[in-house]
Amino acid sequence: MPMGGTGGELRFLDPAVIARIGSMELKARTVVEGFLAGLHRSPFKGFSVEFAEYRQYVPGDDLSTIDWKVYARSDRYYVKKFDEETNVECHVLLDVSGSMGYGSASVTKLAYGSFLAASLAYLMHRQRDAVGFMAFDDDIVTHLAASARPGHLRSVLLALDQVSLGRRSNVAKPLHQLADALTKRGIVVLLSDLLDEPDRIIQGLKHLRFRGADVVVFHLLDDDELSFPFERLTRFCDLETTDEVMAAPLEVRNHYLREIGSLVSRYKRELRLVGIDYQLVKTSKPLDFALMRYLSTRSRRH
Amino acid sequence: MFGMAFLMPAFLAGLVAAALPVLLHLLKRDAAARRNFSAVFLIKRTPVEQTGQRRLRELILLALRVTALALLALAFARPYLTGVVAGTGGGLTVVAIDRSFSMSGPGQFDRARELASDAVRAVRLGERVAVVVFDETAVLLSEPSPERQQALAAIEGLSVGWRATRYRVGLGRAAEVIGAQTGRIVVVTDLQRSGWVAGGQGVVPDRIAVEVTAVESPVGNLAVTAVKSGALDTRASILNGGATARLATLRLLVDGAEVDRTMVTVPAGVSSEVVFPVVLPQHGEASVVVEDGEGYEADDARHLLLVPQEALKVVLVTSSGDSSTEAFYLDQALRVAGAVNQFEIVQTAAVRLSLTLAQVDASPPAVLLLTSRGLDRRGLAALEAHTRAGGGVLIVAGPDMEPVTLSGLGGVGKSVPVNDVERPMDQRLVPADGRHPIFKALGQRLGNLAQVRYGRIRVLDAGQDGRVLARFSDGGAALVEYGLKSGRLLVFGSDLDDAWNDFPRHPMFVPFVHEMLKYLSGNRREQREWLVGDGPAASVSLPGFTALADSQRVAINVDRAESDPARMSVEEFGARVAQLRGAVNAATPEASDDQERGQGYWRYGLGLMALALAAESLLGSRMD
Repeated sequence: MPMGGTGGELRFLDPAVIARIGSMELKARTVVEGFLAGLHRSPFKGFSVEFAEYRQYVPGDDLSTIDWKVYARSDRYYVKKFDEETNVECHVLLDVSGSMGYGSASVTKLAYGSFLAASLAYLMHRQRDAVGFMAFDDDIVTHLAASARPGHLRSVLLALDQVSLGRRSNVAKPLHQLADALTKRGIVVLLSDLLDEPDRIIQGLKHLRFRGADVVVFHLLDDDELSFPFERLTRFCDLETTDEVMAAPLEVRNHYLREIGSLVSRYKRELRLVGIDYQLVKTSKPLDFALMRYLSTRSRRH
Repeated sequence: MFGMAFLMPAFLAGLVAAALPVLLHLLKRDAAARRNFSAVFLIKRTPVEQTGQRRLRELILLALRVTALALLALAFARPYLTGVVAGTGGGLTVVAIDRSFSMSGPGQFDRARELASDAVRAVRLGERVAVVVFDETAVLLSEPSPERQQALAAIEGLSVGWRATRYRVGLGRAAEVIGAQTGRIVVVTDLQRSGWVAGGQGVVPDRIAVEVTAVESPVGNLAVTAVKSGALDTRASILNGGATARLATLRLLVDGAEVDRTMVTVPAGVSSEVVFPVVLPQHGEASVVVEDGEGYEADDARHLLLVPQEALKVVLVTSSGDSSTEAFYLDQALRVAGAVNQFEIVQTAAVRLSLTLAQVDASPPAVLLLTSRGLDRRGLAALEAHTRAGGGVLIVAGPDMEPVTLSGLGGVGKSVPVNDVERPMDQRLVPADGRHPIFKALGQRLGNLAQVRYGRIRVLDAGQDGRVLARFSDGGAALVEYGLKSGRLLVFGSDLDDAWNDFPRHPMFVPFVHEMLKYLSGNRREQREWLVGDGPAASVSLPGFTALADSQRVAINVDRAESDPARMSVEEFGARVAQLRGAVNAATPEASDDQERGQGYWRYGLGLMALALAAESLLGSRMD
């Protein structure tokens, strides 16, 4: 069982279960609280923002974690654990292009991405990070600037609750726009199926990275897109264009799998070369997997 | 009519299986499902063939599978072509013309040619026709062809032969020409009854119709059927094959010159003997000719070559040298007056054998060794020299033969393993190989040998070199021939003088002894009379006198059975033709081969099926 959580806790991280929960806020809360409930027994214990404690310094502790105020008062070294962070701008970018509307099960990529975005926003807000949100297809559909104000999370979750499928993908365009707009270093989380021109997407992400942002890419793909399980002769209709192609899945499967495999491999290879966290996320997997990935990236900023 | 039939039509039910791929194709065929998908551009990058191309290839695959299954079913059904071969159209008619000398009556063969030509002309346009002529042999005169002129020209140039009628041969050849097709045989013949030999019958497949076009026979026929030279006169047999008595004039010719002439009235349908009070010379050529203006020309003369009879010399070896007492029956058998085979007996005692053999100045005689008493080393050496010179020896292992001495008969190059075991049993003699010259010469009388009762026999061990020619009824060897480099050695496992068996008192004794001695003598007496086309005179097509390849003159006569013009009805003829379902006349291996070839289309079916499957595999693997 991942992260040491109990079965009951993880049940609430299942995207199919989350999808049945009413509001986006409640969904996010369910995901994050469930995630954190398991996290207390995990190695990532130190990132809970609800708990803080001091303990006496022991050789080997990071000197940056020593609370010098306490030292001034008590003349003893104490290490500050779980202190709150409020100075990171987090931008959640959600792809709402037509291709995100595909879902083989009860959850589409867009829904999964929404849950994940909401959860991340909730988690970020809980950590006192400034949360920004952007929904895009071939252009920016919704944009909420990063803010740590108490009511901002509700705005973000409301925006997420109202996202709908857009038009064709153009992932690179909002990336460049965001990169140009960034005023301070922060974390950019991209939630997209990346079914667009890889060169342009990678260029856009590199632009963000160039602007000093830590970038986390969640590559959302449906199981069908990864395994191509179809058998009967099918007329495949593109979700973003009017393109149609008749194909016998048994005939094209091998080549398709090679294509999708090389696409994923390319993202993984080229993004990691420039220090971008890339994570392939299957929409059938629990959401905690993606949250854990974010926290891992977040931890590197301390 | 051209068509196709099947030997095993039940297998055609397998064609239903050919519908299976179509059925599966139809069942599995459905409209392409429509599905929204996100990564269509990745699918489009796949180098998949266009749907139209794929559909075409699938249809080709389907056709190949159906074809393979259909070919399999057809191959098992064993197809064959009925009618003519494809492309030529029509059936095949074979006109079989009887050209035996029974067709040589006045105007008879001209009429036969007319009827045959009519039969050719009656063949429908587009159908093929062939011409076969037959007597004792059958020849394809005109190959199957739709060109009637070819057949008509062949018939026009045809002439009557000198041999006898054999319907079975003619029908067999005609059926062979038709092969596995359908067709008909038109037999142009005089319906001579003797054309069916010894109750024989012709066999043709039921797909071949047999029609008879009859030629009238002559009203009567006089034939000289035999000529015999006697010590006091010359006798001839004359047959009147007509329905009324005939007054016949016969002439006796010697070396072409008439030496006597006589007239005789021959009753209808019988043979009469005519006596010429003429003693023929020892050398020359004699012929008896009858004047017959109504019947066949070929049998109007009978020819006889006059050659002195050379007696075969036989050395009879007994204990005392007096064969008239010690080998009475054998002695009498060799002295039969008037027999075809004449023997000159040289009596000798075993003790004087070497001397006797040395004194015989003629070609190596046959030695009949009846005893071993007195046979010394010189005698054995003389026997060895005798066989080495090509002579023959018959050892009669009777009561006078001592087994020990025989076992040491190294003088003939072999140790003859005759022991002294005697079995007082009621045994019969059975030939082991009826084709051996001794038994073959006995002909149909061969079975009479089994009537002889053997009270005592000698156990013979043929060993590796011995060939058992006859056995006793208990399986033991009765007559053994031992292989020698030259000469011949026979051992008879019992007595030939009425001591251990009653053989000498049976009619078969004399011919059996004569044939054995003839065989031992190497059959030096040459046959001087042959039938047209038989034996060494096979290339001789005319009766009369002729010289063979070795310059030896022989008399050539016609088959006397053909001289009988007795006819049968068309119905009787038809009753002799057995039409077997699906059978091709099995008389000749060529016919069987033709039949096999005609029914061998299943091989092509299987070959094509293999090709279809190979193509299907190739195409299928490329689609994967």
